[in-house]
Amino acid sequence: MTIEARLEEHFEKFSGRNILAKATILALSHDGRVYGQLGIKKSATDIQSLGALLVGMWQASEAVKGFMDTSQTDDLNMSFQSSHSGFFILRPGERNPNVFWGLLFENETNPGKIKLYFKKLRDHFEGVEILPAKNKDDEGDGSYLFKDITEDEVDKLFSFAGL
Amino acid sequence: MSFVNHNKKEVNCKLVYYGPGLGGKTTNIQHVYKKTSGENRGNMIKLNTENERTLFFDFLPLELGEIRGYKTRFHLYTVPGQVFYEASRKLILRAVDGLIFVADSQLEKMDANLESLEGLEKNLKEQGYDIEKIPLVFQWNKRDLPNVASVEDLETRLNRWGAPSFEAAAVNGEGVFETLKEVSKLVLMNLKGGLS
Repeated sequence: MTIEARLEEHFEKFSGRNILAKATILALSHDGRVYGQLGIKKSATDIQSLGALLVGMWQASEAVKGFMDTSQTDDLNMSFQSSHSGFFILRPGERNPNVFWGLLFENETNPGKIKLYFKKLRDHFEGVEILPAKNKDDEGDGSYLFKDITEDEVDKLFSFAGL
Repeated sequence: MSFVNHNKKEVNCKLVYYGPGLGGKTTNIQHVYKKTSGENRGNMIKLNTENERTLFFDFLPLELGEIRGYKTRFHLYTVPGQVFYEASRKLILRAVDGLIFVADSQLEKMDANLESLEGLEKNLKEQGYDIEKIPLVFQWNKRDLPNVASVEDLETRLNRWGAPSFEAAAVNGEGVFETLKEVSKLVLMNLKGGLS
């Protein structure tokens, strides 16, 4: 099962799903790659930019925290919002330490409620391993995936640019 | 960090353009953006200061073609070149798969190139990377200007690892794709996870 399918399947079982239905939810890697999205879907190109920006902001915020005395890290989150629209980032849960959570919401009468249910959703996903332990299919045999790439193959990769 | 999804037959890699301020890093990815059709690239994100200098990073997601049945996606980042943005550069280097060092060929910029390269080595080391093991390509940019250092001098003083290098005038697009193609090749050939 793909990561996206696993996310969708588990989201279907979330009791507060309807409350988050008008928001965009992104499951993100530490380097801003998007594992999948739930709720209102953004375009494939937009989510790549969103992933880089949301995780970039999180990393910058963590770096700022490094200048502070506090060592508390377990309940950090990040919010940028008006009274009705904005975004919210949650750190990974314990069972899915490689998945950051991003939420974008618009025209909500109660952003606090959306954020609360978003936290509940992150906790709900603690019931499943979103990125299952790497199996042989993921790991391959440890050798190089592409040996001896030819100039011709590289040219074909970049043929879109008319080169 | 690169991500190979065998189920979806997809590889994702992160490339970072590094180098001194005003050396042409942003110009490189602007040229890639200009030459790429909408279906192959996403939005180019520029987080700039008021005077158009890179503040945090530029970002361009790029969908390349397929190689041996695998769809390839590269995320191109630039770092801010100005000296006082060191903390940002460290962040952007996290999980990097390949590097393009964009050197400014002008004679008076040699010290800035050396300082930036020294910073790169240090930042990589802090994050557990060995510059000798990470795919790295040098670009000798601004070859269209007068008063540039010779390529031999740039190679001797900057390219101590004998990495591939390309002359460029990114402002005209010269050398931009040659550099990107070479680092992409090195990154793809460095990916682990083969299925024998």
